[in-house]
Amino acid sequence: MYVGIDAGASATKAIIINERGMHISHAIVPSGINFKFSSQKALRKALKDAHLNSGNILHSVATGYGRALIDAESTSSEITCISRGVHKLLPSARTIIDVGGQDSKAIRINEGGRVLNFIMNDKCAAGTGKFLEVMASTLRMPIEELGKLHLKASNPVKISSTCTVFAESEVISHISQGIKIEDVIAGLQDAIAERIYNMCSRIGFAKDFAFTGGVAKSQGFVEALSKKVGAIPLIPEEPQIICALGAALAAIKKHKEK
Amino acid sequence: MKIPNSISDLWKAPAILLSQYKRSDLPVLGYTCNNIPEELIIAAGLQPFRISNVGANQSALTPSFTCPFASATLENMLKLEEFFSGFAIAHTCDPMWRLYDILKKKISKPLFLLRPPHNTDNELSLSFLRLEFNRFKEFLDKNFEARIDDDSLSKSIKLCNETRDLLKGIYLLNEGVNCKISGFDRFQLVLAGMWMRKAELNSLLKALVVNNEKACDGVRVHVNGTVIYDLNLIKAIGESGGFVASDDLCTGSRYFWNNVEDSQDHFSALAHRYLKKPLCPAQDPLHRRLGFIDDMVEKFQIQGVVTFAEKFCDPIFFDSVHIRNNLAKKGIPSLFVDYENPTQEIGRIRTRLEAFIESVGGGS
Repeated sequence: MYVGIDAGASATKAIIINERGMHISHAIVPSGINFKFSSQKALRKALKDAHLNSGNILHSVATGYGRALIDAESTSSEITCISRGVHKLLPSARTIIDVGGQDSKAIRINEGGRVLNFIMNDKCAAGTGKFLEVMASTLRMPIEELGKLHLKASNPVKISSTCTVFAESEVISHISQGIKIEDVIAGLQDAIAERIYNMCSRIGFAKDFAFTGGVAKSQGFVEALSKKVGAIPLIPEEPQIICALGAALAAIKKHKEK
Repeated sequence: MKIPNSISDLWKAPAILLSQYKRSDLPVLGYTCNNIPEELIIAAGLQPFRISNVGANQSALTPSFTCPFASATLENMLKLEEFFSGFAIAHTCDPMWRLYDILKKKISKPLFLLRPPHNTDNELSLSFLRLEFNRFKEFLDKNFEARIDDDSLSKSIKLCNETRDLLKGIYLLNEGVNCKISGFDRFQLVLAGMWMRKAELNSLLKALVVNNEKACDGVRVHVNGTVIYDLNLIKAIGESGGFVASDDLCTGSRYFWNNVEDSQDHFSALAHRYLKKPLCPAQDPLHRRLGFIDDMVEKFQIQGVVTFAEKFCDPIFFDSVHIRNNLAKKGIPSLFVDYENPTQEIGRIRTRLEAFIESVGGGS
């Protein structure tokens, strides 16, 4: 068995695959402040679900921001892992948008899944899952609710600020003016979609485009992004574990090279 | 190749040398940019010492939109003033020029502003720079009781040429697909050239033993961009699977790439050398900068180019678009990495570098 661990800023994901790259099990746990601990927790959970133990692991690869801090035989960057994971599940995709807890990325790949170009927003919370987390907290609701309420919006407001902190005051101002909460939420997600779209435009869109990362689970955000791009993204069944899957696929390759 | 102990890790705390110079009563002239001719400083009996941003935070005296490098350099000049007999600043980019205005009010030491021409490909610029160097000589003579003459200048030119030759010789060990010295070690040697006494450095460089073992491996990278004193950036490329085979940085090849020609008219020869050396992004013409990168890419068999751009360094931000497009036409991939504080941001910088090097090297 082969293991991929994605130690992300918000969540740590572990996946176990077999030698043909088929999914056996996976686990997602909050990263907290100790990547080593969270990665061990995620791996233990994935092994337990698959009725395996650590002795069954032939090779493991770590990726994500905490990759250097966890126990794995080798490491690989998120960009390469996401590309590899997407290429495995969605081989027609040539552009990938990944929106995670701490950053967002756009990647262009070729027909072999090789990275041609990439761009990252990793310095500003606006345009990341963190932005949505902050807004959900401001609106006193679980983050999952944002996506659902977005779909009920009839007249989304325009959120003009691209800074998380200023956008938060803008949201409070809209709410205090009596604007419906679903219209504020839709406005927020539209603002992030626009920011991400602008970032992607710098490396160019190629059809088809895949959408991965934890934020791809938000239905409302997917709608906002589809509207902005003018196409419906390809989304894997579990978009949050694609980077870990890419790492596990790298583990197969590394093991063969041994 | 083993780097001498006196050079190894000097980049982390170059000010150590300033204390030594003070103890031995060696007057030091601090300068900010390699458009300042060290030859004249040495001929005046002073030790040239290029002031970096190492160990300093951004100065509260500069506006928030100033490039962090210029701001931290100012902070170091103020913090380390007691070790210097005077300072020279070159107006290459505007923030550096503006440091002069601040320093005029803040320090008591002699201060000189050199204005190297931004347009470098005409005779007028050559004449102008020659006059600027004469003005610099007068400043040195007047403030440090020096008497720079043909003899002292001829000796200092020879000394600096020797340093440049030695550094270039080491640099060229990595020509083609060779890898005899790591990028990190090579940068350590070049930076030492801006801080150590030239004669001492030259002896150390001559004594370096080159063996035939491959010193490094990986994707061959050319580095471009803002001035880099923080060698963690160069190290990060090595740790990400790359090998910095060449560069066009002012703390790299631009410092030593060409020499002052032998001439009866030293000032013309100096002006020619400083105007014709590989250009800073704040200087024209663009095609010369692009041409130099093209040459390096060919000479050192480069597979990818990394541009490091410090926030608010306008010349390199504008330049990077031309560089990227020019390289793309030739099928050379490039990566643009912007940052504000490389030490604090090294994690995210490394992610970009790893992804780039993996993609260039066919890692996926």
